[in-house]
Amino acid sequence: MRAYLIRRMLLFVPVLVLVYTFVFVLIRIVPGDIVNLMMEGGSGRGTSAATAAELRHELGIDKSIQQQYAIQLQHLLRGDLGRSFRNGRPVTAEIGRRLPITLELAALAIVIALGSALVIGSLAALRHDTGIDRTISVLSIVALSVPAFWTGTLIVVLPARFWGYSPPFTFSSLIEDPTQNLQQMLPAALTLGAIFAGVLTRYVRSSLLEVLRQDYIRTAWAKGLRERIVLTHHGLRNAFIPVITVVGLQVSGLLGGAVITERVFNLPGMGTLTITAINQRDYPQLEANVLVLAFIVLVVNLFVDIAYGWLDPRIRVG
Amino acid sequence: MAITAAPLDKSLASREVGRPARIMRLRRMAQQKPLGAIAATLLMLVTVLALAAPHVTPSRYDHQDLTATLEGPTRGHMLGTDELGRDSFSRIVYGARVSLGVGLAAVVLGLAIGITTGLICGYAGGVTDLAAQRVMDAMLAMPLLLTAMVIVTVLGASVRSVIIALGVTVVPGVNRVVRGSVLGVKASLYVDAARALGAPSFRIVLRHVLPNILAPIIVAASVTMGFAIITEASLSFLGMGVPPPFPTWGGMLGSSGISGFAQQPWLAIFPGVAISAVVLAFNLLGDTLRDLLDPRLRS
Repeated sequence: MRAYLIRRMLLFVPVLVLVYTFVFVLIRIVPGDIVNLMMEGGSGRGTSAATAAELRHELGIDKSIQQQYAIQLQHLLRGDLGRSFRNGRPVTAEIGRRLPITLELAALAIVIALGSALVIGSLAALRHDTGIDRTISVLSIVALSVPAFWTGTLIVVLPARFWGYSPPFTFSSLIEDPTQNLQQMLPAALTLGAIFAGVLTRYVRSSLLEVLRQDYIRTAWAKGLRERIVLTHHGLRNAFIPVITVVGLQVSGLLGGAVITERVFNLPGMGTLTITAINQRDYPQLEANVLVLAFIVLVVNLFVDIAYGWLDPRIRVG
Repeated sequence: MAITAAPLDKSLASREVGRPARIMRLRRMAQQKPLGAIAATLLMLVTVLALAAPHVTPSRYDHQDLTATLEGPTRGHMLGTDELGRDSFSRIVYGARVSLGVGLAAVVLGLAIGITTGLICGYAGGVTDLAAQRVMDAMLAMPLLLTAMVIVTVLGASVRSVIIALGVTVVPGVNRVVRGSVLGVKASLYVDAARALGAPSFRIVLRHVLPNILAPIIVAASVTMGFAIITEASLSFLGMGVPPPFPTWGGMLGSSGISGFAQQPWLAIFPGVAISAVVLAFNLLGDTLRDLLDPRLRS
């Protein structure tokens, strides 16, 4: 198990290096850097060419891309992700503040999606080829076809219009003010979770249908076990295995969806931070954000593979 | 060579299908797969509307009528007007040009790159495949929306950069589908036979492998089209898509902001319905095609 883990973690390295390099090079080809943007802003500060050159030198973006890359890699190896161009603070500090918000949103969305998918998907499988099954199938495709920013906008706009209620627009953390946090977080998580509920329901349904055809299910029925036991212990537990893989595959999409959901609900998470970093050409912040997001995707997929072996002893890794 | 004829056109090959027979077949298909038929009809309708936009809309997409701002659906403005008095129906119909056009171009680009690399990875294998798959891993590890945002920022906001950005983001998905299918087909006897006859790899891939993996590619194309349209809309919503004044469905939901929607909710409803309906149609079409083309799933 340990050898397997180490081998898998080693495979992270080339992927993360590629992700980092990709963003590093691309964002530096963009015409206009942060110094241009600051001067456009016309804040009245010394906007001479000399000041600009000095600023670029200070930020280290006066060198060629290759030189910058070599320097950055050395810093990275020491575990230093750099400082934000915008406020000069370590990028990790900002990530430390923003990441929990995105993780809370993503976790709530997964719980909502998995919970509803298990119930609705099982119902569809048990009522296979009936009106209920067909309705659920169509509804789940509808759920994954509707853009999150639209449902999100409607959730914000419609209650405000008709009942004078809108979710709070200033963020407070879960520890500070749990009620206000959840008032803002739950609608966002519902918006995001609905899409993935659509995806997962389809997998739960087809996976459970497959399992219910197996011999051991017939045996369980023959033993006279109650429906609930057959369904949960023998059916769902086995049907869950392919579903958990899909959850892993969806994590990257979930984080992408979080970018847009955070924007709609004004949540100061990683998505909002990344959009700002792109717009302000805050290279270190953008690079660190993408690196962290990619790392999360890789770790979740590793967990999924481990869970896979744990749920299905036939494919234990070793 | 008879072997290359995929199972899907067996019925076509067996007898000559005349015009009436073809229509009968279409009708039977529509009865068996009503959802797929509805989806296909809807997509054709939207395409025709988009192409004929100047002839079916009451005004141009940028025509402002400041005497009639933020109206609900009325006789003159079927779907109401926005805060500048522009007709929502006209903007949605013109916006369909962006959604469908950009989506189609992006999917064609993504398919071209994805199929080529997928065929090479699957058939050649070895170091090439290993290296290419790490690149795909890296692209899949980043949220695709972020990748698209970065690419659009690099290339500058324009129709062309949105197409390139979306095209690139769909490559890894297509590559995986094609590569996996190639691996499945590669071990077939007919591929062995072709190789034994001394056919060059190039010919084997194009004449024997590709025709036999068309079914998953067609399904992927339809579903990818839905993904591309929803991602284009997301980019436009964030203000990183096709730049104004040309209307986009995503942009219509983003630009005017919450305040306009609070006064006139219809303004927020119709563009979203348009996106959802078209994406839903592509997904339903993908599902139907999967049922029809995949012999293993055929009941």
